[in-house]
Amino acid sequence: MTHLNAAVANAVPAVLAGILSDGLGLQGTVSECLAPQPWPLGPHTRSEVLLVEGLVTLRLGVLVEPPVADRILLALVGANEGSTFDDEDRRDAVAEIANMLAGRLAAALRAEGFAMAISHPTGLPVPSSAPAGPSSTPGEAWQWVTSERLIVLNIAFEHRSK
Amino acid sequence: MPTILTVDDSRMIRKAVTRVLQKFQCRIVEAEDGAVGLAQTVVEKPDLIILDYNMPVMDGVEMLKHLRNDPAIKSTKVIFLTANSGPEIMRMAVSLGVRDYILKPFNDDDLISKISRQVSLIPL
Repeated sequence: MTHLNAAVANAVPAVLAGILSDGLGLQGTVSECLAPQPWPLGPHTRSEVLLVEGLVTLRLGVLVEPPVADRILLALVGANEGSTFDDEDRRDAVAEIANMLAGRLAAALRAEGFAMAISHPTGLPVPSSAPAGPSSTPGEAWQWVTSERLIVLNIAFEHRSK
Repeated sequence: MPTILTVDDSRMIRKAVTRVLQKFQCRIVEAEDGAVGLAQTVVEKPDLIILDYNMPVMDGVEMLKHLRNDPAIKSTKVIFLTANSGPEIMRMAVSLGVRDYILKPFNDDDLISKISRQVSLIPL
């Protein structure tokens, strides 16, 4: 495991808890999967942010199932807005969650001496048939799943050659 | 009544800020990126800008640089509302005259408290 892998593995639980639990009130537990897991088959919204440091790109993919996306939206915009949200609302909320996770993770990694640059969040199409694997890997991948398996964070490491 | 401009590419974040501010006597203006935010600043002359960092088209730092170089709007107060923390970003923000920063996801009380230090917020 490289220093960067170790720093990511150390930082992710606190980053997730800080944003989802402390920030948005979405209680849950975080677990680490040592091998990439397939995305769930059901409806969901995905967004992706790239964190780049030198020749390494961390492809940070966030998947949120609709009930949790709606809970995130309620936490952000409040109950006065009504409890119904459309797919565009969910895409926006999940992109913002990906942005928050990337921002906190980058800050934690910068504190460890890694100069991380962050891309803008990109919404990803949801596969209509077979489950797609997490954004691809060669290298190492982490996946973090809440106890309800409703929010998945996958971080794939991509190493470019010089 | 103060005019407050929220510049953020996330519609949800702009809505969330508006939800908090609509309980006070203020005029709320929104922009979805730094370029639009800059144009809105020239037209609307806001008393305070709540500015995101990571945005497409023109990010928050780029907008700030343009803002500080325009004599007509250079003294506009700015608070950073960002998912990106870290000393380098904050040093850059301070060097560009940012008054304060709020980390996303924000807490309503924290947002009100920090905005109140910059402009007068009178409850409706």
